[in-house]
This record gives sequence, structure tokens and C-alpha cells, in this order.
Amino acid sequence: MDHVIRAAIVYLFLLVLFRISGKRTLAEVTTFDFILLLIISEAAQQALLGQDYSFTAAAIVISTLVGLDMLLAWISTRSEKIQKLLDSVPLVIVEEGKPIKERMKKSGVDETEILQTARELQGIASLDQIKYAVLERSGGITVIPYSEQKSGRK
Amino acid sequence: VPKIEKVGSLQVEQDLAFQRLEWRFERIGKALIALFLLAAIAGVFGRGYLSRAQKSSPSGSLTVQHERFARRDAPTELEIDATGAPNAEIRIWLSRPAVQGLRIEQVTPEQVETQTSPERTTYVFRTDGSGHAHVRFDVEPRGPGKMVSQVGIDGGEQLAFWTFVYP
Repeated sequence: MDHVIRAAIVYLFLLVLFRISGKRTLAEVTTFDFILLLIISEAAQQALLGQDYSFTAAAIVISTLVGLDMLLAWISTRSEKIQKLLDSVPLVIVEEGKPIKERMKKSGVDETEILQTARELQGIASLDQIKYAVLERSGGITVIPYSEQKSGRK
Repeated sequence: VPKIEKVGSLQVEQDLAFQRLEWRFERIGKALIALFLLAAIAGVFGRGYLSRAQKSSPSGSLTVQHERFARRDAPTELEIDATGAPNAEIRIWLSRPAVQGLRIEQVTPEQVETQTSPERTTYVFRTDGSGHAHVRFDVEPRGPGKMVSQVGIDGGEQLAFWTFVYP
């Protein structure tokens, strides 16, 4: 019984902590983020299992974590509000070619990151080719370039 | 069905009101994390300045050093200074809540004898030439909550102290 409670508390704690730290934190996993992730899991493991190394305890803890995840995913599909609370909302950070500085600053995104995504995903060379950039729920950036054919503008 | 906003020709479920709330939540959350860490450094969660405590009996024949804040299953210490007759036996007892709430891992120096009764467990040690005995209990709290324990010298003074055990 106490393993279920422990796992639920650790799950909620991590959920709140990562919501506080902002969606950019683990969006792009750099080498150091990867190490950080490993250390966090190591620290959480102790709290989850204590001194109990049995298979049963591991099965209970893993089932609780996956179960909670499925439960929250299910609730998210029913309630838009809860989905926003859990997964945040997308945010337009470049609108009609204009970077919106205030939103970028508050979200911890700078122009170099937008350019990096633009290069990686679309082969875009410069900011003036970007029509829209969106900071997605996941923390990733998506970029929509000006298209020559459809809108007729360049 | 989520309402989908239009930003220019872009269809996106942006919600600026919610986004502002989220930024505020992040700011408050960051302040709380900072407070939490400062509290941890100060010893609110054990092992720090605010956690260390020392208590002496009126005549000073008994002194206890302990941690006010301890954590479940995490090692902590209880140090007892007792004064009695020189080069003789001294009997130090711990009340039942202390004995039940703590897993006593090690007693240094080792006791000569242990006696248990329903209310207390008595440990027998030998004092040195000046009548002092310094005893250290390495313990691990078993469960969370506030714990009030008593320690005393058999036939002498006693002290009560509390420990808060975090889960």
C-alpha cells in the first residue's frame, strides 16, 4: 500500500517541479540534461522503493506510475482545462515575421533557438523567412516559413 | 472540443490568459523552490544549524545532544553525557517511545548490560575517573511524525526532548 502512495507522491512532485521549471527544461535534451535526468531518476528511485528490492515492489511502483500517467491522459481528453494544467498551451512567439520579445523572454527562448529549429527542420537561413514560430506544449519550437506559392508573399 | 484560435493564418490553440497564469505559477514556484532549498541548508529538514539541539538537566548531570528534525530510515545520532559516581556503573534509560520509534543501530561505547521494562530500556555503562560517561547512539527513526522521548539516569535526573521525523 505504501508503495502506491509513495509512487503517487513522487509522480505529483515531479509533475509540479517540471511544470515550475518551464517547458523548455527538458525539451531538447543536451548532454548535461541527460546526465541530470539520470541523477534525478537515481534520487527518485530511493524514495520510490526504499530498502525494498523485491520484484513485487518494483511492479507496484511501475504500475502506479504508468497507471497515473494513463489516468491523467484520459482525464486530459475529457477536460480541456485539465489538459492545459498538465500539458500547458502552445504560444506564438513569431507572428507575421515579427518576434514577440516579451513572450520569448518569459518563456526563456531566444532568437538563436528559433533559428536553430528553422535550420534543422525547414532549411531556413534567416529570421525574415519565418512567418510564424510556435513554442509548443512539449517545449519544442515549430516554424512556418513564408510560402511563395500560396500566400503570394515573400 | 478545444477552441482553436486563429493567429493570422495560423490555427493554434493558444491561450494567452492561461499562459500568463502559467508564467505567474512558474515565478511563484521558483521562489518556493528557493525557500525550500534555503530551509534545507538551514537544517529544517535535518542535518543543519536549526536541527541541532542540546538540552541539559537543571544540575547538569545529564546532557543530551540530538537532532530536532530527522528523516525516516536516515541515520542520526543521540549523544548523552551523564555524570555519576567515578569508576562505577551508571544506568541510562530511554523511554519506550524513543526505543520504539528508533532503530538503534549502534551504541558507543558498548553497554555492559541492557534491561527492558514496559516503560523504558535501561543501558548500563561505566563512568570514567571523573564520573563522566559519554554515550553515543546511532539511530534510525522508523516512522514519520513527532516523537517525544525521555532519557534519564536511573535514580537521577531526566530530560524530555522532541524529534520531528519527516517521511
